Amino acid sequence: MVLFEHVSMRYGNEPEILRDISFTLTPGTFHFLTGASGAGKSSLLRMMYLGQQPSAGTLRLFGRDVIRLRRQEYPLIRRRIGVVFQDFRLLDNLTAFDNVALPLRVIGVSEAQVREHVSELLIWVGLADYLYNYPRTLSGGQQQRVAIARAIISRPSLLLADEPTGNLDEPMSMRLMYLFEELNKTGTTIIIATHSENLIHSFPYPQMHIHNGQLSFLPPGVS
Amino acid sequence: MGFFSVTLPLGQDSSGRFLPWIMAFMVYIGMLALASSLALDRLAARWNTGLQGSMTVMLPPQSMAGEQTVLREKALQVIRTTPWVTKAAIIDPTTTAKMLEPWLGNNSNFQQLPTPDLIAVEYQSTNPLRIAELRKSLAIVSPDILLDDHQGWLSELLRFAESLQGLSYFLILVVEAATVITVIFVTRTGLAINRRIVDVVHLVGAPNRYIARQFQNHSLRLGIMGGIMGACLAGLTLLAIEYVLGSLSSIILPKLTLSFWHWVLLSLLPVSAGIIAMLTARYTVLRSLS
Repeated sequence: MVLFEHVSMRYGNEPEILRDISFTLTPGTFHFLTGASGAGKSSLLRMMYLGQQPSAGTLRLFGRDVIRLRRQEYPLIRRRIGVVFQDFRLLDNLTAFDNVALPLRVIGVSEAQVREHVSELLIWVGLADYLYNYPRTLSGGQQQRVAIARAIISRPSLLLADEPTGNLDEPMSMRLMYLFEELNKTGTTIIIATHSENLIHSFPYPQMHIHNGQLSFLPPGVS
Repeated sequence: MGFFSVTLPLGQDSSGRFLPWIMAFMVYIGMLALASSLALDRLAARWNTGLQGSMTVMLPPQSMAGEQTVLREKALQVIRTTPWVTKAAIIDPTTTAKMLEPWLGNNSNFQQLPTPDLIAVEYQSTNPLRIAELRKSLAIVSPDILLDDHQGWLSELLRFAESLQGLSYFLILVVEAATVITVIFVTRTGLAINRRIVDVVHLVGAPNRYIARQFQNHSLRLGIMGGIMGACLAGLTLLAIEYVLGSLSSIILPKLTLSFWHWVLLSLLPVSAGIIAMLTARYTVLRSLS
């Protein structure tokens, strides 16, 4: 599903932020992505959602070499990837409902199905009373839940989440982690970038740890 | 959300806020230009058909009344015996005086002025050579007789009308070009302002044509809104011009008369402005994002 072979990445003429990274993720795996702030976690995720090209090496997503992908093919790949951004990136002019509905509408899902699925998911993440609220009227935690709902509404094959529980209280974090686990059980590959020791220790998933631009795998629960 | 719905907050940036007014102005100018072109076309056709198959013979004024009558009779005989002429009649001095009124005023001493006798001639369509033959025959009666088949000044007038029409079409083209340039600018500005949002929409798997549809729908809406405003103003202006020209009993000023189909054609202009805005926005977005 995801294959990195000797991948390096830099922004412009800056020094390489990631160096010679190689790993493979098979379908249905669940990993935490850890590392200090600025270590390159977001950059690694960015390459995986086609937001940035590697400056060296080979990156394959769903069997396709991203360097050789034509721009017109990006949407087809991206529709299989759900992304939760650290800064949420909700569209301020759309309600919570319309934000979550966006990925479905883009692919032409019928309005009846959109209504059913979006309402169901927003109720599940505890936003039953905020379906038609605009992001500016929601708290940070509520916005985060909208962002998570938008990322998983189309049941992606790969879910990339950058600090998805950063603004949430403990019970809601756990609830959303269970949602990710449910999604994972249906075959979705999940990578969650996090600083939360509590999260890492509460769930038995291995870590992809970035340090000095290098990636290493750590067993579950190791700090 | 339907096909024509807009997800991006395109109505919120100031660049798009002015587009309907700019479009209204463009459509206003375009409609006036098109209306004048259509009216000129109609006027030229009326001049042409009104004078087709007719000519005027001018008999020089003679010093003695008896000579004038003899000359008139001789000329009439030559004209009436010409086989292709269907009608020839002296224009009575009162009518002549009325025709000269705009230039000479209501002059009671008109009868004393040495004005030529005029003979109105009607004929079946013929070729210019036969008119030249008649001109020769009349020259035998008197070398000072003039035969005016109206073609000289009519062709000048028609050429002038055609030039004005060409100018109107050019003006419409300029207006269309300005519309396209404006929409390109507004679309590019909108893309730049909404870059972050466009990125998010891309990241959820939207293809460029989805983004382009957002911009094209937005431009279509603004274009038609502006087009309708411009069309209403232009319609009122045209009606006012029509009323003013109609109330002036001048034979020099042409009447601005537009037919039902002319109004239909004019009403297509705001629609076409919307469509041009839509297609321009689509093309601009697809080109910018590719």
